Amino acid sequence: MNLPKQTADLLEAYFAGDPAPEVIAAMEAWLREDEANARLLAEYGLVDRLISHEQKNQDASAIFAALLEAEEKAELVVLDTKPALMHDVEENPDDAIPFSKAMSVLSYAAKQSLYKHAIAVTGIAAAIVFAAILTILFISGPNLSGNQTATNNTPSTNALIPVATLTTQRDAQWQVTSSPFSPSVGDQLMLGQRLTLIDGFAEITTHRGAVAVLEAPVSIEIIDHQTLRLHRGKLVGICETVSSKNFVVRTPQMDITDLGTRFGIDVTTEISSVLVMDGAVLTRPPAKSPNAFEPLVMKESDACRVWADTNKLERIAASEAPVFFSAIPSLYEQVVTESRPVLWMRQNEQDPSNLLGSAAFGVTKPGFGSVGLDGRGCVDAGDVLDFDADEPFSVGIWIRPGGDHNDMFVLGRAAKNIERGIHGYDLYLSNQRLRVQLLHAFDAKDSVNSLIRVESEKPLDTDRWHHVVATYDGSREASGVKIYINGVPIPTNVLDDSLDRNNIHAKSPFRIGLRGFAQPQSNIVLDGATRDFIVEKGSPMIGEAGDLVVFDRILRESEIKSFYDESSSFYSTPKLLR
Amino acid sequence: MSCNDPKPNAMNPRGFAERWLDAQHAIGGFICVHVQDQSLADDIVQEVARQATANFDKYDPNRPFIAWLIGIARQRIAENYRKQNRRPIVFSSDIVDSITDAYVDLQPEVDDRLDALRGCMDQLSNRHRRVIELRYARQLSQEQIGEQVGTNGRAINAMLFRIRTALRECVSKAMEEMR
Repeated sequence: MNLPKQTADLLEAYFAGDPAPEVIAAMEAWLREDEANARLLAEYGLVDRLISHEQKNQDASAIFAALLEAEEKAELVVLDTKPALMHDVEENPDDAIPFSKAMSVLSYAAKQSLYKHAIAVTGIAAAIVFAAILTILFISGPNLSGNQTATNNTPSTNALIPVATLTTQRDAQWQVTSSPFSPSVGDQLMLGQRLTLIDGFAEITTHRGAVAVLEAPVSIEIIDHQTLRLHRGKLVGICETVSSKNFVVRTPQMDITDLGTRFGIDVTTEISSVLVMDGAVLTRPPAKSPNAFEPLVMKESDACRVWADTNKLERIAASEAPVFFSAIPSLYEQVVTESRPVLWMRQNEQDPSNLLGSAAFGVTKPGFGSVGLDGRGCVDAGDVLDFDADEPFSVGIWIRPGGDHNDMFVLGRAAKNIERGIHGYDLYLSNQRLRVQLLHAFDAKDSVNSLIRVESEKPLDTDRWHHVVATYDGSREASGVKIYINGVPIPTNVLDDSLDRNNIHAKSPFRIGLRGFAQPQSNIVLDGATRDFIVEKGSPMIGEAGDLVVFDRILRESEIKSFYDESSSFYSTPKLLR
Repeated sequence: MSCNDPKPNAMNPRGFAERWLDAQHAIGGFICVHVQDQSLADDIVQEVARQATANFDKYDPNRPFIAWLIGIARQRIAENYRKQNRRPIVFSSDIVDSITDAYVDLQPEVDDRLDALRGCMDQLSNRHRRVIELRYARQLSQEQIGEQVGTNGRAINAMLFRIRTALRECVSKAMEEMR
């Protein structure tokens, strides 16, 4: 049974912490009203305590599981202490380890009484040999030399081969000495390309799936699809897929080969340091000084450093290693993972009538194109983005509203039925003013209106491009909605603020240009087939729209400004000149 | 309380341990009603356990054990508020008595309620589960959680309350079905 709203509000205020005297007085009065209320309050306290108990148990279980896993990995690493297996095959292809030699590791495993890992070892040995063969083939291939030592900031003209993608960046400022350079998320990075990040974070994913998180200030060079050179700064390598194993990071003092792991490297003028967070890596001297130190397999929590003046390797405690901010899982999630959009769309260059997009791996390249909306068609993303009113989200899009139309549905997930009237959430233009609407019920015969509507104070010019962003903090209040036009927050008016605790779910696709209840006559379908909906006249968008991004969080003002800046030159350029 | 309960005394720590295990979640619940800071609530539970162990010989077995613990908890809560120079949450003693009675009634159901809660928590969305983890396992403030999940402390407070409400209702429903 649902709590009466007044009771829910009172309890919410009480449990928010440090309740004001009037809240305590109201609680006391409420407790006196009915004996059952003491029981209700006691149940809340008990649930609180039991959740806490459960969470701490799970936390302890997770730590225990991680310790067990670490122990197993530590056993496995013993096998990898045969560095000959990874002998400098890149520099000396003739020294490739024959398969029989790799298999001899198995007998080594047997001697170490590690039969239980025999199957895993077979896999590792085979993978290493396979990787070695691939490496040899790659090194000997035409124009794909692993010796790319591009000192320019742009790749050499004979090597414009994409080998990695800029998958995420956060507050990133890039520097290129010779020419302006401002890569966007989704950009392809080329063989031999050199990148310098002055500020912020960036994540690069090689086409083999290895991830390198860069912490500014840092300077790297992309040697090939599996090798980066770290000239200066901090890099965290994450290799969680089979194909990404044997990812190599070269520093002036050592080469680090991943063996399926997570590790951090810090390069300064005096020293290169490595810390292994998970799994294991092989650390070897660079090709220029092959005898500087013995190759070393490092496992979880191992750390070492090599001084530039002596080239000698020194093992150190993990606590002495540099701190890698982005290697802390919760922070990594915060700075990197969460900065990805949950949905993006852009026009397909090859087929302008279709759109590219992804809900799974959100990368977008702004300024790629727009789609015309004539009132009959729409962009249909399917059954996605079913946000409820207690979930924050942000939606950004470029729009050019056509003139002479007072009401236009821009985008959203909204539907209409008899019980609730219009419901869902959307961005809507009414008399050229942009509205953000979160609706449980609106304009229904049998329901009381329950909705949030916030509207821009000033109208948008028609037949001009505007970058519009709406953010909502999940508070169920109109004050949680903000509107940004062209990167700047704008004054708004609250038209309705009566959503309360009701939901805003709608059985509808997420669409640009037509509400879910309106039947499109032409459809630009994203990731799916044309769908059928109730035929009913909506208020279609007429004009153009482009570069949609949706996030399941509130975007910061700096991010919104950055989205605008990245794509404004495209939309401010006349179409014929693009 | 059962007539067969052994007479507790300081020489019979097992008697205390058993009783404490039975009552620990209920006493924790009472403290959570008065202290919303999770780590402070944990500290107070520990203080209550310490004080109750030291004074177990003074416990009157004719009273419910949980009621005795709540008496100690009230002192510890008030003392902690005093130490922190904060305004205490004070209800009239008859109100506190009715809350105490509620916990006396709830205590025998605690294990069943914990089982039910596990099932209910499985039904939470990933996002809600994450907020719960950040709040209860990591003990982050509402503002810190807001930063991690892309919103603000106010929205997190509202979300936490809704999650607790949903879980409480789910557990109550499961208990009714069990009867």
